[in-house]
Amino acid sequence: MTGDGPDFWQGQAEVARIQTAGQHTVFCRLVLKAPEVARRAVPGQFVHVLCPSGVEAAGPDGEAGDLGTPGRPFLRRPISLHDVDLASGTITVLFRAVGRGTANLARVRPGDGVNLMGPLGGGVFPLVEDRPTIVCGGGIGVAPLLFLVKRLVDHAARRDGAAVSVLLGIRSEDDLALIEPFRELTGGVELEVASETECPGTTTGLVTDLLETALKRASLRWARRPAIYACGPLPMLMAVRRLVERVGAPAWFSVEERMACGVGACRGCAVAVRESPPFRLACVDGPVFEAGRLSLGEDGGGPSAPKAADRGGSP
Amino acid sequence: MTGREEPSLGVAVAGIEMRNPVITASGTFGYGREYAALIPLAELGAVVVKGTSLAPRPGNPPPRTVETASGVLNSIGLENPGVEHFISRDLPWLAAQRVPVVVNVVGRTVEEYVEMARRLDGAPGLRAIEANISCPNVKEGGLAFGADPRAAAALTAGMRQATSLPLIVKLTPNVTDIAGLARAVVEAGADAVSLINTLVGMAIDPVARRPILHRGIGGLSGPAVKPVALAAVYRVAGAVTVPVIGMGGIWSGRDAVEFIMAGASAVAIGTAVFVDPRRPLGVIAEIREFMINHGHRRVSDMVGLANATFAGRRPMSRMPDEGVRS
Repeated sequence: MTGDGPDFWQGQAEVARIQTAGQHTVFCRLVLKAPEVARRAVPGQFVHVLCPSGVEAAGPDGEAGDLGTPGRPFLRRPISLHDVDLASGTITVLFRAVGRGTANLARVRPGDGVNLMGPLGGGVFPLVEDRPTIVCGGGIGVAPLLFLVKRLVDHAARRDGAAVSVLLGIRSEDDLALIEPFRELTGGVELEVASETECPGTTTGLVTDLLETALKRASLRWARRPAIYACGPLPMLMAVRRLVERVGAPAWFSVEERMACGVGACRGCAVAVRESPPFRLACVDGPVFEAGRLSLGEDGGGPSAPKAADRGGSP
Repeated sequence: MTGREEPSLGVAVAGIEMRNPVITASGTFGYGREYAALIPLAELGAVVVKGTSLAPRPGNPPPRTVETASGVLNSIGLENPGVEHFISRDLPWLAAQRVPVVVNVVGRTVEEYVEMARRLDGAPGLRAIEANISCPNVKEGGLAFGADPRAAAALTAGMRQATSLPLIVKLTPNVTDIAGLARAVVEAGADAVSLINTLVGMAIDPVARRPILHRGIGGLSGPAVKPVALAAVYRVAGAVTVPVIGMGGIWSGRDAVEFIMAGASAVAIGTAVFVDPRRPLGVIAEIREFMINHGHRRVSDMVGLANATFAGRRPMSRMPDEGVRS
């Protein structure tokens, strides 16, 4: 019956645990009981989450508190899988409460039900086995990388035991909550953290500075060029791509785009690529793409300011 | 009807026999495979696949969608792999799913629509063509075919000559007189009309100081448009005798019955599927429940019941005191 469409589950998942942190930006780590998602999920995938329509929380930036905005949130929110535990059948998502939907989602309580579709995402992180790996994340972009790192560590034996090098970048001390689970990883991981402002336990600077150094070291440490996995803001991805292309290392990026259906039916989540046809879908071709395929804007394509409104009928 | 007799949900629209009046709307259900994990297509009344053009179209740059209150704005740009890909790759799989398949057709000129009809005529497993006439007519300065009764009629007449498949014309609400458009396309040979397509709308990012969609303007769908769609169906059903397929913000069986009583012989579900993929199955069950609770034996018994101006043919006439209250 699957007919080559994505194999995903849809239903109510019970909230097992919720943690929020941060003052300026609220981060939320949500653990949900979803064994049907957990058993199918691979790193790079996401769940499409129906956010509660609670009205108490104030929205961002001029959006009304008190009664909130009637009729929103409407669409599901795609949120990457941060962690998966097969033994307990739970999944973890890590997100920023930036809009009406995520603000409401950050207020659920253990025992509440959250309606999920997933796992979704056809383009995923390939678990390379023949070379060392460097995992590179910036800000909330670190979210999908924990699941990836854990699976890479499991595969370490096939890479002659080479450790997974994890490079993470944050803005300030306020974001330290993002990197806690990476600090808790035991064995198999070499972790370095950069912070844009001074913060204990980190190097002051950008994660791309750490990557540049790591790539120089790599040529001395390893015979094979490492595989690079990255997720983060667009300027970070552009800088990472420049670095990896210089040394000829294979790289995969996880990108995000506004999504409606999440399964490839509506064609809404177009990602500009340097190919013909010039768009792929984040939900079924991605969210992970080979870095070289993406049009990140340096060549005039890719994300750009919207043009003046077209005349003509409905699309 | 006494007790809780099992109602009959089957309907026939424009020669298409459907097991129930619930259709998936074009542009929201891909080519059917995407939701196959959750919805056995054989349980649907029919599937209308996304707008298909002669040549492949890449679609618009992102952002192509943005949420609104109770709705979605889209500016997909009619991305599709083209008619040859549809006929050779997508239609065979769909035709094997035991659900009537309708293809939605888009074009830039009357000649393109006619050529599409010619190529699709006789395609194995295809049950009908739905002409999306909301597209800009590039030969007339971009005015939508669906906004101009003469262009809409010429397009319909051209397609009518080119195919013997049932021809459904999908109307845009962005006009002053949708009933007039409906009359024009029916006179030109449409076997049925479907409505509404999306409403013109936009959203702006006040921090970035620009529209959110790349193309600025988009089309609004979802529960937000339901009252507009319902009024359009009501008016069109009072103006033409061919079947009307109603859509626009339908979420529940009760919504669907509103459209049927306004004059629709069948309904389509679109945006709701994004939020609740199983919604079409829910709507079917809820229509059935409504019919049982309110004594309707057949879907056709309900068509136009709330519409004093209903012009279509109904198989049974109703006595004045057999009004329905919900």
